Amino acid sequence: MKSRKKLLGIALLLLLVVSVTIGYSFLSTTLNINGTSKIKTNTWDVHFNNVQVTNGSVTATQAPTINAAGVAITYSIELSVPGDFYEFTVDVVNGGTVDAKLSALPTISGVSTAQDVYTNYSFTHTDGSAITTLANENILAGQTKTYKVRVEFEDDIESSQLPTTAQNLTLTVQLNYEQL
Amino acid sequence: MDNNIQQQLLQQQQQLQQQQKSNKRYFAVIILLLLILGLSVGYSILSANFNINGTSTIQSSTWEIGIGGTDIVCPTGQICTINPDNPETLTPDDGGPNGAIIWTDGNTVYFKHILAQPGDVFTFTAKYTNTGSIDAEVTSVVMSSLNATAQQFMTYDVTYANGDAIGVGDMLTAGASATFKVTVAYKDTVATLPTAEQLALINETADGHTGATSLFTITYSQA
Repeated sequence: MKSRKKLLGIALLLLLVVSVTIGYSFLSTTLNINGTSKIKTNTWDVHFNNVQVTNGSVTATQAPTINAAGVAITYSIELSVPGDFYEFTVDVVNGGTVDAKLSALPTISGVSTAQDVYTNYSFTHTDGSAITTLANENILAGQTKTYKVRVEFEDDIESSQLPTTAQNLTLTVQLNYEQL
Repeated sequence: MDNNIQQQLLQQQQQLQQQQKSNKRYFAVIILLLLILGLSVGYSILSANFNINGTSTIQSSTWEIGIGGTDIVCPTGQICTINPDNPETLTPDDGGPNGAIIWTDGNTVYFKHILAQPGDVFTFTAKYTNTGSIDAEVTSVVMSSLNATAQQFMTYDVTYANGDAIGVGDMLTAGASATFKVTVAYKDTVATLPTAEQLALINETADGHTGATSLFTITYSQA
């Protein structure tokens, strides 16, 4: 009789433990964050376009020509006397879908210190203002910016400053565009 | 004659002695029975039942963790359509250029969006609240990876709103909220744009879903 009561007590205790365990494991919630992401088809296309020679410029021996890739312009000119100049504007076009920016200010080279006395060589905005702030030169997708190239034989010099021999200058402007 | 009387007296005396003896026996048996009965009765009195009686009150409790429609927030300037009608039928562009659509059923947050170009970042926050009366803790965090091609161009992360990682053991006490931040970015360090083939692998996954599919699962259990 006593042992039967003991067995019943133990069974009840086990049932109690089991039911408490089952009750504990049910308190659980799973939360989800499910998403799908797409990438648009993109193109990178920054190129030169629309060279316009300014009136009054000397006649070029080779007019500014944009290469097939649209990333280089070559020209050849001859400045004979002080005051001669050659000037043209060119568009930089962002024909792609990715916004672009200059990675650094334009690099202008080709004029030595001595030649700088009688040579004016510049790459500026169309109004002649210098390019000094990169953020102002961003070209968003679909936009165009226009710049001006000018080479001039200075006319505000002394005769002693005139070159005594013909000077062949290789003038370059380097622009590096990258994704904004 | 005298001998006969003596013999008779002796016999009577012997008979009387025998009678007394049997009387004693009966008496002893009765006493013994009484004793046994007394012991039995005494034994049954010494096995009294013991009871422990108590009262216990179980408080009513609720277990509930979820998210409301107003608990999804996009940052200023980002185009988001939150909880539109029939969101499954909409495409991300329906939310505007580079738009996103985000909705919830109270338990799961769904989103779909489009990244236009390298450097684009899509992000939003979702706030879950423990509206029950039982403290909860994180017992599991599972975040799937984007497919291999998508990983070349995109990053995906889910953190708390302050940028801290979500970890097992993190508490969400009754009445408290946890805000998660989801961020999907188009890497701005890519050297080349994805090809058409790569775009197909990113935008259409093997299981038929469009887009790089991201899955984040967090399990809260009673603390």
